[in-house]
Amino acid sequence: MRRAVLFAVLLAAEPLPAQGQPRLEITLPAPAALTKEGPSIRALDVISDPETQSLLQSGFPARLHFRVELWSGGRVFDALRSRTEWDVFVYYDALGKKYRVVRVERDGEAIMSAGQFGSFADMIQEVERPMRVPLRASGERSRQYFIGVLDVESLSLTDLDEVERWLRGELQPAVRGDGNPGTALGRGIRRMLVRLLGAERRNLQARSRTFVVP
Amino acid sequence: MTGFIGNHLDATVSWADERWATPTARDPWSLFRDNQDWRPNPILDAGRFHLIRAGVRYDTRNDATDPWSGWYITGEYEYGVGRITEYGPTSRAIRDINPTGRNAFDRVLVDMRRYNRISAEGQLNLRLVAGGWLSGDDLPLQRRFSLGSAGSLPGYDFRQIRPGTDFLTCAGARVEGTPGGPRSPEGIPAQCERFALGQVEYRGEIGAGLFGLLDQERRRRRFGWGRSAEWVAFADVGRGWLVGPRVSDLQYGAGSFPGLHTFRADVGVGLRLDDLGLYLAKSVTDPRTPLNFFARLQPRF
Repeated sequence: MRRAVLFAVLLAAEPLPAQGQPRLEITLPAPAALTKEGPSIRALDVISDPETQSLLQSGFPARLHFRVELWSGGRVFDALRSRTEWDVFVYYDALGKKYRVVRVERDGEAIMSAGQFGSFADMIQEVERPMRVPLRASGERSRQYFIGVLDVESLSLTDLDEVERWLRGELQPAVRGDGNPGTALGRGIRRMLVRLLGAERRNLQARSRTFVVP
Repeated sequence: MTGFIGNHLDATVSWADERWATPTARDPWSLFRDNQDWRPNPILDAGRFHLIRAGVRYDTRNDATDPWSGWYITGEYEYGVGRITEYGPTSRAIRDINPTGRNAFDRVLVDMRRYNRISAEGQLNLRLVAGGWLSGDDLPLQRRFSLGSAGSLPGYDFRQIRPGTDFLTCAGARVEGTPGGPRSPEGIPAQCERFALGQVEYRGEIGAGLFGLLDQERRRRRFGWGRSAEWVAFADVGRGWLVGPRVSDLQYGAGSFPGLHTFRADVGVGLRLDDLGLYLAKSVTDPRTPLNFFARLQPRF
């Protein structure tokens, strides 16, 4: 009987609405420029869904954590040569009715506003703009490739408060996950509540083709 | 209390005052076989202990949740002193009973993992885990070890006692006062005082479009989210043992290590679909044990 009820509940679940496929794209520069400039990375359809828009407008900011790594082939094992990480925070200013986009690089040393946008579509356009990654291929004639990882999560209201205080220089970047201004239990409970609302942490990975510097 | 040294090394010291007892048996609802009883809880030692622990962690992994490169090494030393008010039942001659219940022991645990990327699509990972009694009185039951099941030797069932020497739970001769009875008390407690386990695993990407299984699974998954599907091949080898005067292949001196020919081993294959892993494992040292299937929501290690 219990199995029949569970089966009926699963059947009654709403189908997923049609939407673009989230994807992370890594584009290499021209072969002659591999050691001069890094790849470009672009996240498409990662926060453009209606659910994320609803969460943003309800006061739950989104955090996009990018990580790009350069790997090179070795005799037996490949080696991680270098890496870079940065965050893009998106939140909705209910008073001004604008979406704000902030980019944080180098462990909080560089914080840049990427603009304020009156419409959701304009904000998405900014977030999905290709970004040049400050990682250049090694000049060695070894097999190399780039790997990109994107974590997207919705933050709680307290996390947003920490973000704003951090942007004003009042706190160390606890929102990176390194610090812990609140108790671990408190943060865990808040994150659990955020995820119960459907705003879980999501992960995307992409890899460039393998190349050898000419 | 934890101290950090650079980005990769940290050390922790802790003190705890713990009261030990056997957890009460419960009967939670289960999706399948709900009308069957759960495995009985083994009766453990009851008492109160003060525990001092010192641990160190060295972590150079490129990613904590999905590492492809780096070391992850943890070591922990534990000193415990207390009094056991009620001894849990064990197999015969497993340990000495102190009439006063006083017990002071120390033990150490080391877990060493190495993640290696061997190509853009594949990785070869290694793990060595070992630990156990160091000095002092016999370890309380709460501090003993067993191997078998998904986390260690998945080719063997959880708390499985094979005929002959029990290399997995260290059940010895029949339980005290039960001539002809079982070799281990009800609930099959872990009785090993030391253990060693080695694991190796190869993971290779299959591709994001594997049968469309990643495209739509649950309400909260989005199209295309997650990692590519991976196939996994693995092997494990390990065993537990007791410490004391040499007794067959079950008990060894404090400075001795069992021969590798006494270790149990298994091999297996699996499929990882983002966070969900589905695996098959088979013992190669006990061929008559059946094939095991298990699922995990995290990598094996």
